[in-house]
Amino acid sequence: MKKLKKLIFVFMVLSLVLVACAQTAPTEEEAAQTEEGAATEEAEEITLVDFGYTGNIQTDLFGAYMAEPFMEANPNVTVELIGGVSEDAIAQIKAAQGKSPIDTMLLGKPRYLQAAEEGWILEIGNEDDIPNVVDVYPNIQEQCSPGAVAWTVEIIGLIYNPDLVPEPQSWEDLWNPEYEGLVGVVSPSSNAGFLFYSMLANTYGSGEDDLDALWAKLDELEPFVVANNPEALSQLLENEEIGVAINWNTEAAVSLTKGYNVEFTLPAPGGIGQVGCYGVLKDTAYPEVAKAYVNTALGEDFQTVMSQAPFYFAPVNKNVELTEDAAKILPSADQYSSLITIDYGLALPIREQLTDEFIRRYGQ
Amino acid sequence: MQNKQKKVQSKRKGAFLGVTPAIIFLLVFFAAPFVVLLYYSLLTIEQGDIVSGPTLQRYIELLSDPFTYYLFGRTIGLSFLVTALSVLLGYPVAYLHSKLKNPTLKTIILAIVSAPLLTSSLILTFGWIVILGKNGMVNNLLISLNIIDEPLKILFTMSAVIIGLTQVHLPFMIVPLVSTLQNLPSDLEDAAADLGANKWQTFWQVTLPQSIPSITSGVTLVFVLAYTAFTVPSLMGGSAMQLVSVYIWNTVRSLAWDTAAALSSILLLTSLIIISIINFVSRRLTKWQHS
Repeated sequence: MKKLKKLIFVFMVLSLVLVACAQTAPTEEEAAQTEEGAATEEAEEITLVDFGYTGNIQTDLFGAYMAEPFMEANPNVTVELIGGVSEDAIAQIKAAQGKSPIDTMLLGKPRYLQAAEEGWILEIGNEDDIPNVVDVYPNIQEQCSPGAVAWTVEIIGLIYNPDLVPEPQSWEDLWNPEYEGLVGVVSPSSNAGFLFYSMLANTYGSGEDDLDALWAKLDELEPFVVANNPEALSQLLENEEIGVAINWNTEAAVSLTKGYNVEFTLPAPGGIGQVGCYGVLKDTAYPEVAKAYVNTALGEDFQTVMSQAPFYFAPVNKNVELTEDAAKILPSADQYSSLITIDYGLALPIREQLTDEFIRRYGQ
Repeated sequence: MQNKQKKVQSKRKGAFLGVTPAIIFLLVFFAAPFVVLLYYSLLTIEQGDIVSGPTLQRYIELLSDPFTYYLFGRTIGLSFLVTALSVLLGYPVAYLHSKLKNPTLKTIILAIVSAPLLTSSLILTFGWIVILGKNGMVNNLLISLNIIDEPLKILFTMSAVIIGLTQVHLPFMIVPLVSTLQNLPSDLEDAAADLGANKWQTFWQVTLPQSIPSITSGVTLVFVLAYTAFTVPSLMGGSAMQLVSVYIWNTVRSLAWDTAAALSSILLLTSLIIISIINFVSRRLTKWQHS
């Protein structure tokens, strides 16, 4: 009995310690250590953790053309690339309570706004911190300022299989009978889904937060398939489970590179554009190294490579010229202004409600 | 006498020391994180930030929302269906295995049954996606046999989830049954036959009652695994599948950790209640059979 009591006591102590750890903010001493680390980061062995894409994009683009050249130029630095969905990364950052396991991070516009508002990224959107920012189109960079730098413009359009469906000319075409049951979407918990539903709410209602208008329009679109994430949606299109997918242009590039019979189009009145931001985490132990690393993402070399096959990321460096192939998937500099943009001020506050109601209404 | 008591105490001490690492491991890596989970379910968290608490607000909201009951009812129903299918499909295989005399055949059956355990459920699920897809084996076969004209929509339906979960979890039903039926004394069945029982009566009154404990083990394992499964429902049913685990995943992605933690706690509690009921029913059945 005594032993049982001891065990319970140990368990209680452990639990309390864990609960306390979950809430502990960084102490002044720890903050001081971080400052000190930044001062000596040029000499010590450093592991920089960069959060972004998974799979081939991670290894073949960010690994080969950003991380490796950076490590060659900075022999004391090891860049560790990790990928996944940004929501998981944010969960890790917040759970770490001031000891972020990530140093640099790709942020979609909604996540950039969240990061800037909640203050977990450094303000790096200026020439002193990131010299290459001077080559970025100013109207694009301003969307990631002052907290981060713009590194691409992500575009949502329609990827379709021309053997299964005709080329959609406008977003409205998706409601035509020839697309019935062949439309694939992503859950609103993913940015691709969130932006599409926000666009629908705004187009057919009073604004991005008009959920009644959104539900009315989606009711008319049923039945449609809901995938977990953009990659899963692409696989459904590749396997001909669906005929048309509302997805990122980069997903179209991946399917085309793999040789699938798909095409990408920006339906009228335009694709949905979202600036991709690159941020440095506030709690990084190596802010200067992190900034230098992010700076390479805006350089002409990296921007040129990323705009070409097989990646087709829209470049933001004004010195980059698109190849003929890339011009079929990516908008030109002039077209950027015609992309549909989302009013995040209206859309973000209702995102949780949107996701929850979407599952209740369209879940199986 | 005192020496004997000392010896017993020393043995107990040794046994206690032996299990201490396991207990510490469980406390640190299972029980304590669960306490943290419970703690989070009592907080108000917005966009991943703790705003206030402790409060029972999340539980009150969830328990006053009819959708919660629908979600759990549906998940429990699905899990029982998968469990029932596992018993119906698994028992004959285990029974056949116990009756076979050829050791090679026995090994082959056991290897086929255990094969799904050698790979991850993710890989198995991708296999099912290929098989059940519009251009998959099932649809191609049905079309080539002129049974259907157009491919059936199997993926992203509840049927697909049931098929996937049953296949992935079937070994957890068969393996305990094989172990029990294999070791069942053949004298009992012979005695029943001598007393005039036919094969069906022998099975119903001798074999089946003897295997109730292992059916219970299999049912408990399959039910719990199906009840908490995420990979199969999310990949074969889609992210909007209305099952508790998928809903929790979506809630976590919306950074509503408090709601996700409360749902997880309810999931665990309901699991424990249902397992207790299964064990209670099993004990009553065994007693009834004996009487």
